This record gives sequence, structure tokens and C-alpha cells, in this order.
Amino acid sequence: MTSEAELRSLLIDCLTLWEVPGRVVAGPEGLVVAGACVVRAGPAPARWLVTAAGRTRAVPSVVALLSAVRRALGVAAGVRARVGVGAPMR
Amino acid sequence: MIPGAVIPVSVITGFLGSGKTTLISRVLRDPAFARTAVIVNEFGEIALDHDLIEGGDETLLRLSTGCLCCAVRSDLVATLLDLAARRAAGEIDFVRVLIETSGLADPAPILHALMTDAGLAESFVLGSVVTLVDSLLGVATLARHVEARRQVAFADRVVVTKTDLAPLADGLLAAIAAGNPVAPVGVDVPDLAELFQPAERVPGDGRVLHSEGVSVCLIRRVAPVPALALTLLLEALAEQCGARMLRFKGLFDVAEAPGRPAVVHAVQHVISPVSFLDAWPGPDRTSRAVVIGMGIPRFFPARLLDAIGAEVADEMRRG
Repeated sequence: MTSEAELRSLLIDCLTLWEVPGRVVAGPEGLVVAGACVVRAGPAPARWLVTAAGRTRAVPSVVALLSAVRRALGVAAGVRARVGVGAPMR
Repeated sequence: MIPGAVIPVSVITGFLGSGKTTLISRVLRDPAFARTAVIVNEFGEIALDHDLIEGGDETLLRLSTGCLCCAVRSDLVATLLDLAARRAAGEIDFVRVLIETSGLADPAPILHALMTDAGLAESFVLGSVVTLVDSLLGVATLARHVEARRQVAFADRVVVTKTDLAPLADGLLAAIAAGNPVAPVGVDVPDLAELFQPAERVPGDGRVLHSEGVSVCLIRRVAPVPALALTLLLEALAEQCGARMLRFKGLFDVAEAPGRPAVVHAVQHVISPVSFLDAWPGPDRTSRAVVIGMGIPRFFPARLLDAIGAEVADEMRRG
């Protein structure tokens, strides 16, 4: 399980990537991300809970968590990975 | 090379005046490289580079409807498909293709075009991305022009040119390594055969330097990486880094394929199908990858893999 400290580092990196100003602050209710949403560990099968604008959503993985936080912060959706079907790199 | 065999396509890039046309001309003058098709992309109406390249015939092709990276990707694919068809029909003969980009080109869209058109898969394979850097002006060019830094970042090989005109500038090799610590750097045009060999894309010794705006992030893991974790990592990097991620090059000890390291390449969000080697190329059997990008936090890829890996391991324990 990813610790809160590890998750905080990951979210700080994401704020940089998304060019969102703000901090990730550990509080009693979880990690407050850029003052816009709160992230905390959730009960199985949900690994994480994301609260934004008064609504809490359960997400099953850290990958889904980053997507959810991204949406909560109003960042445009990221690109989807695509597997090349043309000339391969070997 | 046998008829119908897969043809390697190498991309020659480099900033304005870095010596791309000179290199192509040298290639075409070398009898050992006579069977080379060259696609020259020029940004403008007057095909000057095309005229300057000696030895051209029907396998020297010009694309001048725009910059390859912006406007004529479909032209590039169509040109390659036409070359393959004419070769199959016995009209022309060549065993490699070189694409010379314009000096301001971003290599990513060109590589995407080659990687994502299914029609090219039967006939072509990506060879090397060779980036030329001018010895005289290279330090200043890399400092001033993001296009030049991106060209270096995408390179499988870097060649420093014009050392006959000026000695190797102080700091040039460091500036190149800062933008791409993985690509081998040759001074002046080395052996052509070596230059166009399939690129060695396995990350090396983990040197980390930094150039302005360019980030080089390393991942190294001793324990095998589950295939699912690797897949999720690539998807998440593409989603969260977007166009910031320029190249991903990795060699992974995949848990489900022990002893057969997986070679993983991506150009931005486009991932080349994973290939598996028959054995490790050396004594180092740890998974390792390098992510070259613009403004990616240094430990983000490694932290992401740690978090994903912990969840995948947890799910595997639960069965």
C-alpha cells in the first residue's frame, strides 16, 4: 500500500506536470490538494476516496486516483497511450 | 538483403546548418550505401537541399509541401508506401531509407507517422534517429533553441559535425549529455555502417545530467516487474505527462517472462509493440528505463511505478 507520504510526493509531482499552482497538505481528513480536493485511503475494494465540491468518489487504483484528482482540479483530460501498429522500433 | 525484407528507416535530424545535407551527400557517394532511398523534407518552395545532394535519382525524393513535423505526415507515409510498392515490383532497388528533416522539425510527429500507420509495418522498421550537432555553434544553439534540445532528446545517436572547422567546443559534450544521456555521441561522421545500425536503445549506466527544460528521469528495479504494472505505468505516464514525455526507453525484467528481458520504447504517448530479447545483453539484469522529457519531475516515473507496483502486488496476493 502506498503511504500518505509517498502519495503526497506523487501528487506534488502531478501539480508540477499539470501546471497547477498550490500545495499538497496533510490534514486530519487526508491530503488536501491545491485547496480543491481531498484524498484519503478508502476501504476495499476502493483504495482511495476523492472528495471535491462536496462529493466523494471511490477510485480503485492510484492510476484512477490521478485521473480523478486531475478532473477535480479542472485540468484537461490527458492523452491516452496508443500502441503503434506501424514500423516497429527494435 | 532479400527481396521483400523489412527495410530500416533512419531519421537524420539536426538544427539549421548542422550538416544534414552534407551527411546525406556523403552517404550517397559511398558505394557501400548506393542502395539508399533518401527522402528530403524542405520547408519552402525552393528545393535547395535536394539540388545540393549529389547522386540523386528516382530514390531521392523531395517533400516540400511543408515541414514534415507539421503538415505532410500523410505525404511521408504515402511516399514510403510508394517506394515499397515500386521496390516490390522491381522498378527500384534500395535496402535502407534515410529521411532528412528540416532544421526546425520536431522529430516526434515524424516518428508517430512511422509508428502508427499499419501499412508500413510489413515493409519498414525504425532504424536510428541520428541527430547532428554543429561543433562551432552547438552550445549556443542548444541553449537558445528548444527545437535543437528536442532533436537531441529524441536521438538514438548524436553526431558532432564540423570539427574540421572548429575544435570541439568546451561544454558541448556535456550539453548534449544533459539533453540525452543515453544516446552515444560520435565526433564527426563516424563509420557510416555503424551510424545506421539498429540503435542500441537500452539505458546505460544511469548518468543523470540536466539541460534547461530537459528532464531525464531514471527507473531501476531489482525485483521483476509484473506485466500489468508495466502496462499501467506506460498508460499513466502518457496520460499525466502528455507531450512533456519525449522518449521512453526501457529494458524490463518482466515477472511473467523470466530470462527474456522486454524492450520498451515510446515516443510521447505512442508505444512501440514490446519485443522480448532471448537473453540479457550483459551481466546487469535489473529493470531499467530512462524517460526523457520537458519539465517532468525527476522522480515522478519511479514514484509512479512504486505506487502502481504496490497495488498490483497487493492484488496478486489477494489472488
